Amino acid sequence: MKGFCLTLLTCLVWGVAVAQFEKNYVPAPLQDTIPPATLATLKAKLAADKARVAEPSKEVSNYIKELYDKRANFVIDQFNEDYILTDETLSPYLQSVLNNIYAANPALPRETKVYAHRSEAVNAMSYGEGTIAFTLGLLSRMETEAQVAFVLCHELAHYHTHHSDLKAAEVARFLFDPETKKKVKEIEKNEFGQYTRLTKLVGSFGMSITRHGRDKEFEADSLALRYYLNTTYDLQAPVRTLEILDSADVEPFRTNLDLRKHFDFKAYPFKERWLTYAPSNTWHANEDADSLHTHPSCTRRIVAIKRQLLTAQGANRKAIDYGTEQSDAMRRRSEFEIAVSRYHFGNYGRGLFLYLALAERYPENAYVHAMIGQGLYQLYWYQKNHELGKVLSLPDARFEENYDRYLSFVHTLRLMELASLSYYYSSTQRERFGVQEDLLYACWLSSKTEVSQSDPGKIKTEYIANFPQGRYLSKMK
Amino acid sequence: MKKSIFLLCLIGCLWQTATAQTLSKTVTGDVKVRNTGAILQNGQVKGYYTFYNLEKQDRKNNNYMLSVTDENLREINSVNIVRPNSYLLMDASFNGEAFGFLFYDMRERTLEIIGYDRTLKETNKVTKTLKNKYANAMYAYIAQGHEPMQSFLIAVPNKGFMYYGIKEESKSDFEVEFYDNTMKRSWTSFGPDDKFDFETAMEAFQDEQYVGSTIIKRTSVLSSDIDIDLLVQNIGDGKTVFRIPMESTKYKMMLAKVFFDKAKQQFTIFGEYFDKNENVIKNQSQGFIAVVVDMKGKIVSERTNSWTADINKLVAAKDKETFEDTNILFHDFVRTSDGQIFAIGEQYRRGGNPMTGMRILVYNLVVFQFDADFSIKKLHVFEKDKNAFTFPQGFIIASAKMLSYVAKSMNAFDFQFLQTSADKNTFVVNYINYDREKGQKAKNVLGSVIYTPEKVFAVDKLPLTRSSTEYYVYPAKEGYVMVSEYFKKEKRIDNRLEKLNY
Repeated sequence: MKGFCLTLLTCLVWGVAVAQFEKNYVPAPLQDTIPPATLATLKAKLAADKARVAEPSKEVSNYIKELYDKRANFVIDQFNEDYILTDETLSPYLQSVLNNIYAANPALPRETKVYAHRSEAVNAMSYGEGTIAFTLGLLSRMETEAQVAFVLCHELAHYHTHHSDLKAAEVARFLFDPETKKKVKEIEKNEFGQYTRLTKLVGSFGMSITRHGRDKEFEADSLALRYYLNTTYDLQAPVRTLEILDSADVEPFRTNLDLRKHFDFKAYPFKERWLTYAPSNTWHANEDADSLHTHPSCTRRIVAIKRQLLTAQGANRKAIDYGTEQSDAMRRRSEFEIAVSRYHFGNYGRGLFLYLALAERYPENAYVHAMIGQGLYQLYWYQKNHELGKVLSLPDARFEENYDRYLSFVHTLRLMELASLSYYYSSTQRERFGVQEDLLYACWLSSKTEVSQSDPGKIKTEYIANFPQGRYLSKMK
Repeated sequence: MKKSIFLLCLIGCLWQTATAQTLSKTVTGDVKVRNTGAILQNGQVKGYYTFYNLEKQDRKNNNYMLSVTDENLREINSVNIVRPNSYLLMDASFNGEAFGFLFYDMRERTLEIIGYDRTLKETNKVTKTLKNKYANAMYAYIAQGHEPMQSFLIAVPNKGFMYYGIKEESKSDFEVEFYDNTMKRSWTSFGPDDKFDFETAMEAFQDEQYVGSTIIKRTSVLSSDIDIDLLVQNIGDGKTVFRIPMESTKYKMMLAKVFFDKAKQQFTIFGEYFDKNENVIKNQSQGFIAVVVDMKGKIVSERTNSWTADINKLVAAKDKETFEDTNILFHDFVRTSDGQIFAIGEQYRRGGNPMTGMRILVYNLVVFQFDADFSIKKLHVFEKDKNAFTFPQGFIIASAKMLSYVAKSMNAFDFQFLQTSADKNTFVVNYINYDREKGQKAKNVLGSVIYTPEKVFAVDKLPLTRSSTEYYVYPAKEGYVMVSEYFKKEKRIDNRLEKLNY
């Protein structure tokens, strides 16, 4: 009975959470600076890591310590530059999955913490000093908690086998290797062909690092499966996770945006010319040679995992439902947060595309429409200042067609057309949704354009009256 | 086509990153950027090339890298070539199917044309020895950093490339060659063996069937008495369709542009005109003339617009004084799809004296708008701040007109380039001016005068004073300009596209 009530409660909570995406969205707070407790833990770990370095050569040891310092500073920067999410939903969810893994593998020291990372890339990273970053891009592709667990097992395997530390040592040893020094001296001595010989030397070492790195991926997969098999997560997840990673280059949203539907207004009708699309047929060299990949092909990893699963104990265990609704909510939240992050980091072009895609799925979500209005204004502002290139990519046939079409559309817009779209979009949505904080701010922004028929002062007054402690107050000064 | 030569002496390698519309290259080590420029096809920018000197290969040769990007600054590919250390890339073209690059070896006095397919795989190469001293002098002049007065390698859409050079066994007669997409020579034609020992050919137009060249001819190298012909040839075999003097029944023409009307199978030659006894280099023109000729080179019609009877009366009262005080050098002419012709020029005045240094003072940008029937319709004046250019001391040229030509070759004018849209409905005139707005710190601005789809002019100004050490502006795809900035401290070159506002 107790279990039934808990399940019911969980369903209700996540049901509410899912419904929230239909009407509105409240973004996760931004991490301004690293929390003091996290900083202290990182510093203590750094000191311990450095104390452990015991290379026979002093200069190699010092260089490794220098790399550790850089690694720690990089992680601190990730916090301070808002990449790490210390919200109350996504990172705690990931941490709870990590805790499950540790509980099932008591021999592992609990030295890691996992955070959601504001990146659209489909990836997870173990920085090597105990921090694991799980990108929003990857989280938005995860179908079950078990898949999240397998990714975390993989990153834990990297951490507990010290792959990052070993790589640092390998680089340091190479740089201070007498043989390397001799080769560099030889290159310096002869003024001819220096660039080629230096590139070759560095390249061969890079290839060696990559090759070792790829081997370490197989090792991490193998160890990850051992950690994973100690949990009660289902056995389909490891292979499915690798299949998802294999399709990382395929955009999850592939339908062409209905731009006419979004940008056709009574007072400002859609122009056919805006849809002109002529994808470039320029040939580009293959920049994607497999030998340069840090990770081996997922197909090979899947074969290896399947082989290992054949001999795994408990291969017939029954899969436990770990709440697909919760995973679904996390996936949806990640999709929203990717768009939020794109705007936050000034990539208004990509962000606007993502919000338009969200608007097609959540047409009644006022927040999404407000952000479209804000994004249009930002593109107008950057174009006006001849800085559009900083926030909007150029069309490229190698992008997914819907994104390439969208980029062509935005690039076709002239300055006053962008201003008009910003103004009419925000005004129309305001009529539709009434008073909504993000929307009111979008209206205020677009009221400052040359095409506006609204008074920014009046909108500001209305905003203050409705949101005296509003999030945008400081920006409206 | 502007070519710039950055000479960077640094340490290490070459890193490249691309974000949004910016291509950033960190050049370290002894790597030097020798030249960079736009790759054009039918007047449209299709990409950019950069020619790097990576390292010394041996005592005589360097290891170079030729890197090519598309019009969006995304690298297509790069190739390494080993050539003498006195090598320079002079010109680059793309014809939709193949690339052509023209290299000049300063020390060996040779030219090399290398053809590449779309993937930058070498197809063929042609080497020419510049035995003719005038031919070599032309390239040596550009190698010293001067602005090229013409393009040498012209893309003929999908068919091949035209090469304009000087015939070896002549004093200085032109040589026109046509190469196919695999850089194999299809035909050659030369200037005739006549009294005009100095004949220079320049591209006039290219079509699927015909190529047109402007031939400037004179009897001696120092002669300022020149005649101009229009030569039209079949693209398939180089056979001459016609060669006619660029003149009407009464007048001589100068600075003329040729427009081919495929539907009517007629050519329109448009430019400034002079009395037949006048010197086109020294004298100011009588006005503008349009001469229409048929496929046999026979004049079908002609129409003049004289300064005195037609043009001056259109000068607005506020501009009268400037028009009276200055002359105009016309940089280019453009014909829009509706048949209108626009003449783009800059007002200038001669100043200084040979003792203290002669100067040329450059004033407003002017655009003369002509109807499809070639009658003058309107004069547009775009104000910009005065720019003064001082010639080296001892430089003596009496004629203001002649002085303006020399000044143009020395980059003294603000005009940079003209870009026409592919549909020929719109065009953009780009200039760089030192802007001194009241109450603001003076700064360099890229001014863009845009003839919009609404058939009106708009002006966009883009400030160029940034934190970079040097900057260059290049043509770009329709609606954009490409700004290249070099940051000396960071040893970085940022190339980015800027969208024009109108």
